[in-house]
Amino acid sequence: MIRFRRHSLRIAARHLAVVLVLALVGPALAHHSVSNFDQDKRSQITGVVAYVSFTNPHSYFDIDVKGERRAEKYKVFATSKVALLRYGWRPDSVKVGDTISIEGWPDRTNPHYLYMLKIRFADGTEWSRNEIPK
Amino acid sequence: MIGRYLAPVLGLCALALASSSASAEKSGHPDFSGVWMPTAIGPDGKSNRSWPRNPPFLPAVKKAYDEHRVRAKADPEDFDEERDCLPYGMPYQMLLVAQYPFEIIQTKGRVTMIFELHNDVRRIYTDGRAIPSGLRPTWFGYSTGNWDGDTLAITTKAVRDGSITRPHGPKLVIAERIHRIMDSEGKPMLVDEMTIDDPGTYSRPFTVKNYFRQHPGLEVGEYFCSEDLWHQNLSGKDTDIPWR
Repeated sequence: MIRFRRHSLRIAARHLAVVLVLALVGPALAHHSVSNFDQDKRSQITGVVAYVSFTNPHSYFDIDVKGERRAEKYKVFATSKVALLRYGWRPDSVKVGDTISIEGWPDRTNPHYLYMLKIRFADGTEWSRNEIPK
Repeated sequence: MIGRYLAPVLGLCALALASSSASAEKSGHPDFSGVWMPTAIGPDGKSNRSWPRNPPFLPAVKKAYDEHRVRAKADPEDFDEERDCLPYGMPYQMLLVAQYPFEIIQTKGRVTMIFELHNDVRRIYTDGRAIPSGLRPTWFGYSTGNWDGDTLAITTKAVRDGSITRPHGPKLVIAERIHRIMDSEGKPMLVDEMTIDDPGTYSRPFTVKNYFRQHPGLEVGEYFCSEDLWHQNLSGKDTDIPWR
């Protein structure tokens, strides 16, 4: 199991005040339904980023995870660009070719789809999303 | 170059803000101007669910709603209107608990709300006018407000129907009472107590609440929901996104 270190100082520092304020606000809810993801389960993957869409209403990344014979393709869904920017992300926080680790909820029907809860960026720093109430 | 134009614009903005704040104070009413963030946690620290689990649907509406839920579960891509980037409108933009802020600009005769999510704008007329008859329904409907002491009382009608997941009909009347409270730490919160009265959809009026925390210094960002769809078009990956 991947162990994520403390919240990335580098990512958070630029917007530390906002991050702290938001942490006090309470948990975040996705505005679009995330019911297709199994919120009782967690999956972890590590792989190489093949595609990035840093957009609203949701961002997503394609990740190639090394398999026994060939790479397995995963698709990771994340919250909106505007929210990630508020949490201190930059448009290039995740780039094609980066090796990253993701922890998230697996899709109920396709185990190769995840909803991102935690990420370890290529430079080793980490970001964690607030817990989400049901 | 930009600075040449920016300075006077910023000056005008500061002047407008100062005058709006002054007019709100002069009127004797509270000034709700500022950036507010919805919160799922109420002032008592308990979790707040702004929309009931089982609203008092009329039987026919309940049947259609349940049938939709079955279809949506089987085919979530085609039966969730939010995935088509439709706006929230009323009453749901005011009941959102996701962390997307909105800005209130309170000026003479009007309270304007600018929401980050969908870049929605809501206008509440506080100049004493009545809601016109024969309006064409819109996502936010037509809102008028008056002050009842420190509470802003708002009536909204002519809200567009058509939502499957959160139904309402043409008879919908929304009565809101928005006022400021302090939480246990003395920080300001806004409370929106909203009574939904829609005899064509619900068996009785019911009241829901939502809470917002003030965030001085926080900027309301830009959110165009269709960015992702365009990105898919440009990248040629439009057939590869299972979730939308």
